[in-house]
Amino acid sequence: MKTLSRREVLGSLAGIASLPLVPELAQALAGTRTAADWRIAFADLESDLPSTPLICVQGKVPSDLSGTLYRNGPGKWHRPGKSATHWFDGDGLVRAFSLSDGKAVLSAAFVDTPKRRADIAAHAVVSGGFGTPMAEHVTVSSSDDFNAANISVVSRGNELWALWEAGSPIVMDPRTLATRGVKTLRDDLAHMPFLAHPRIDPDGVLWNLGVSGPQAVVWRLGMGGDVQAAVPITLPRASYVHDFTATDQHLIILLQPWVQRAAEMHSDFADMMEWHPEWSTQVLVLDKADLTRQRVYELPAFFFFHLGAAWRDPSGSILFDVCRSADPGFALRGARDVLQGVYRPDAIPTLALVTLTPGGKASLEDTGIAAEFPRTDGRRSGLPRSYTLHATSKAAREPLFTGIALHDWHTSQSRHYDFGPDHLVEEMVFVPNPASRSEMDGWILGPSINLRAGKTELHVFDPHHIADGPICTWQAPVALPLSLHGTFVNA
Amino acid sequence: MKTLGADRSSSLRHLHRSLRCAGALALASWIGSTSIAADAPAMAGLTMHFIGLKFSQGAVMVAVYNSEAAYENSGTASDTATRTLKLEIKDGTAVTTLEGLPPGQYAIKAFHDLNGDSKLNANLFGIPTEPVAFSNDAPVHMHAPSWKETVFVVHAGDNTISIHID
Repeated sequence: MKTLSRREVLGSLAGIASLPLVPELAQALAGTRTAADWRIAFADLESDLPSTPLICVQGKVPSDLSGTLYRNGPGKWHRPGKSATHWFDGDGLVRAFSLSDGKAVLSAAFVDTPKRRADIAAHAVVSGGFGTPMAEHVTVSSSDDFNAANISVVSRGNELWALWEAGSPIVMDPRTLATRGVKTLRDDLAHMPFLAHPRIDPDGVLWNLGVSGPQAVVWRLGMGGDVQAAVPITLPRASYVHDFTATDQHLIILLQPWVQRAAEMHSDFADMMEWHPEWSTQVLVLDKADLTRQRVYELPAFFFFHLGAAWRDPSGSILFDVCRSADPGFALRGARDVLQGVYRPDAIPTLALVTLTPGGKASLEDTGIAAEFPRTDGRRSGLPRSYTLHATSKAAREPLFTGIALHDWHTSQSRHYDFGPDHLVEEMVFVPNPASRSEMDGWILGPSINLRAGKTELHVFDPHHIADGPICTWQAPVALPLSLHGTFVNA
Repeated sequence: MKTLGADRSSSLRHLHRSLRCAGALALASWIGSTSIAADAPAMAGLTMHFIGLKFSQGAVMVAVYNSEAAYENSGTASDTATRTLKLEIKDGTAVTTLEGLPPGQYAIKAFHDLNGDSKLNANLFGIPTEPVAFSNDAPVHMHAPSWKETVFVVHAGDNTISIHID
């Protein structure tokens, strides 16, 4: 190996002096590469993003991938008089990545909620929410008065619904993203809670819960959004319920030991909750055909936001996956800290499989794999399946996630791809190939924020070759705030 | 102006109960004596303006209370309002005058009966689905405001109060 003299080194450096000295190169040369700034993922977007073509920066675009990926997540937290103090309390920002003929176009619009209007008029976030105190003088006659519509979206009929969890869906135009208003599913069901994680059967029937303390309603809606049933039930515990799951025959509601304190005044929702690690996690199983047929299982205490779709095995056991944490630390602290530009490494949720046997035994097997935002092949929702797609992370250097993984429950193999510390990866979804019926035969589609470039990117993966990286990546001219959940609607 | 029947009183009781259900957190503070001076020498008139109505259909249903106990217990006791009224809506407002009131402390609960069924409609969880309003424009925080937030003084002679509704 040739050893360069000092002159030769200087000469070689002179040779690159004419290159644009991009920050990465400058830092690499200086040997002081700094961490990319993750805080842009939690920075306000001031106004809607009109329809903007994305640039394909690498790979070949699948010609038969056509449709729109709608995503939602908080997009503005700060106002002059008072700001939201929790990530989950920003105004809902719905983004549409429209794909056709190998091209991608991005648009984004804030959901025009009564909450956002009240906050704009007050020049302050007066409406409160999950972790932001409500201003004293604000009138709240129902939870729709502080409905941020900022968690997810679902398509019903010719409407796109922006979903929160403690109030009604907000109707948007799926083409223009214009807000049409608060959805009243039936006059006597106005302002009822509607979770952001409905379960959709392969035939299109939508099941959902609305939860308020120990009170809950089980929703069943048709393809057009028509109410087929809205049945009140009483839960055994006033837990925080963000998600539930379902087999083809059952609804499964996990009641974690993070529960509402009774009869006290509280400044915000999270402040109203109390963590009881000495309690169990209750698992309430209801028969879809007869909601009075219920059974309760018990698991050790854990905290969770998200579950995978459930299925029944030949023995009659019910299985589903959960991304679980030791405690609600992220909900209480981490999701507040990120808005302050602070990240303190905390326990990362891990992927676990729950089994409920016909004999009444509940067990949990933890893979130890960092996991959040689990998604599955929707064609098998409630039916036996092998795969769970999820976000993952190799190191806890920045908040949230830098990679994606596909876990095979039959082989216990996990295939993953890590974008490295310059990206924050958002939830990715599975888009079936219409020409195939095989599980996970299609594409994995979802965004990341390229922190170094300061741009939102959209990636397509081949589920069978995740480790090879994206088969195609588009880049937007700007970075939008990190989004939470979304859905793909075929063209 | 008509006098409310039993069903209307029941509806207004339901208003308080519903709002309590909504938050289950309604806390009332004792604010001292709410009794009306027994030797009040003169009667009072109270003109109530309900303003800001967005819809002209239906009616404004009103209950007037003259004590904290009556106000706070209106969710469970029998009719505890000193006056109950059903008001017509014209040009976005509903107005009436009560005569012959003893001067003292009062509070008002009202709702806009949009569908004219004389009931405060509520959803499955008991959250009102028709607009509600209280004296002093006391804000609703997922539960009905307390007597302390809604009480106002009626003096001998003419008095006027405006309440935003809808």
